[in-house]
Amino acid sequence: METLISRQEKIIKELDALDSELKQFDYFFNKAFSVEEGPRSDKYLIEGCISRAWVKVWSENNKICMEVESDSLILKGLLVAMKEIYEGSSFTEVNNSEFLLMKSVRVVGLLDQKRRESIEKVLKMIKDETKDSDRRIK
Amino acid sequence: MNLKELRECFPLLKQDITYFDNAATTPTCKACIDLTKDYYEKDCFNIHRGGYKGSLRSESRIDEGRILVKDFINAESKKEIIFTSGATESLNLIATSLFSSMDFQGKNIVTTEIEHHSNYIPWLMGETELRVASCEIDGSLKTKKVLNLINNNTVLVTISACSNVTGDFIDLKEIIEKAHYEGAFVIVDASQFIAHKKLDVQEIDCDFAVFSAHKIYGPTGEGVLYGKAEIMDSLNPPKFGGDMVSNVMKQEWLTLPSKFEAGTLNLAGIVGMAGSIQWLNNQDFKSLEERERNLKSYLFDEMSKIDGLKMFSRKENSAPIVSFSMEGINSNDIAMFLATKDICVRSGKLCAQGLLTRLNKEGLVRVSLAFYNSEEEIDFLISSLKQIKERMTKWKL
Repeated sequence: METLISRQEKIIKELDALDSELKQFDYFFNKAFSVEEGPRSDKYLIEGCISRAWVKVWSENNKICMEVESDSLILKGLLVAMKEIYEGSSFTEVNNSEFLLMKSVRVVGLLDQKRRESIEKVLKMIKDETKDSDRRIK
Repeated sequence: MNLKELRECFPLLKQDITYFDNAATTPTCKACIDLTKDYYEKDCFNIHRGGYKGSLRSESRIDEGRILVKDFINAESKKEIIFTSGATESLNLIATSLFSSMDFQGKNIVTTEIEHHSNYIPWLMGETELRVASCEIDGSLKTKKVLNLINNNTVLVTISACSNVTGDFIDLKEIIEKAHYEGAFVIVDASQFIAHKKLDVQEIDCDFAVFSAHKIYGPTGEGVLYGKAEIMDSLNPPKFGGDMVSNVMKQEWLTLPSKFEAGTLNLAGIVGMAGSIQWLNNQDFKSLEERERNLKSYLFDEMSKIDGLKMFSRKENSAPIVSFSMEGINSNDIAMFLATKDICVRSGKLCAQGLLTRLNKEGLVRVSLAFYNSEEEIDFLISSLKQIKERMTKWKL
């Protein structure tokens, strides 16, 4: 059975197998083109991101749902990878897991402080959704 | 000096990189590094307050640095040279000082859309009208648009001598003449200009000028605020602390430049900046300028051949900076792709949201050259840009 951890491990394995920054660049671009266009609404804009990025996080039946979009295809590719990892995960899975993908990312442009901060914001949105839903249930 | 010898003056260039981000930071020259090391090893003592030999040696090196800067920009007196942490601090200091010293009620400040954020945001902090001269849709600035905004209520015109986005040199003569005719001060942001042209503050007759050392092959965290002595004398100090006060109880300040230099300065930074200026003084500046002109011309011509690439820069009367966009490809993706080949460029809003909004662009890629770059490096950039275009077509299919 697929879990958050197994989905993350699969992507990490794929990334680790790519022995150059350029190959990873292609990998994220392919991911960006693999999904439909996401919502470009100010409501979902990640403030402070170098490239504009929009992320919508919600939950259905206590499972995470996500839509992502970005002007930057490479950033969108990374967000799609996050979506693949987290979407369908239970709140327990989210709260008991660690986001490890960035350790395998070699594309230098995705590793600067501002982009890392944006990724942290997305992770916080996901975690917050688990808390907000808890509150809604109570 | 031939190209190989020139490049050897910059240890950073030994790395296997193609460095086209000179408008952000130029590589530190060896002369700067050597002098800084020498200072730390022999003379790094605090100045003004120690009566011992080391302190005096240190003071003497700072004084030499001040004289070098004075001569470098042809200021009238060394007391007109204030050391700061960079152009941003210089502009913030003068803004704070002007806002606390003058009555801005019913007055206005004139600036332009081409300004770097560091010469825009400080002027929003005062409670006065900020008049912003708009630029054209190609990013150029028409002198007339600035002149039209200056009137007898203008107390200050603050303008860049060279755009950090387009590289355009701005014709300051008429603007400064009109500002002075109306009784306004003029601040010139020379941050981009000074790496490519000789700045002569007396010739252009600006009242203030600012620049950073890291854009002239010097250290980071060091910069200059130039101000005409008679004006600076009349202004309140922007910062308070040690080494700027003569009588604490009466709040009487020391004379220039100390009045504007509270606390311990970045002494090693000043020595390092002096090293980079000495190095520049030892070069044939005209030939460096010519090298840069030729490189820009070559870059401009080669970029013109790429379909879908739009430049927001001009070939003539400009610094070797070319900002561009490519149809259908995000500027940050271009920069990240180039980074996979260790080509270093800048992308995004380039700290010039006003200009980017006018251009209707979310971001641009900026290639900024220096005299040590080569045509081979430009060829590598061009072939890489063609590659990303080809890959984009492939990805989209």
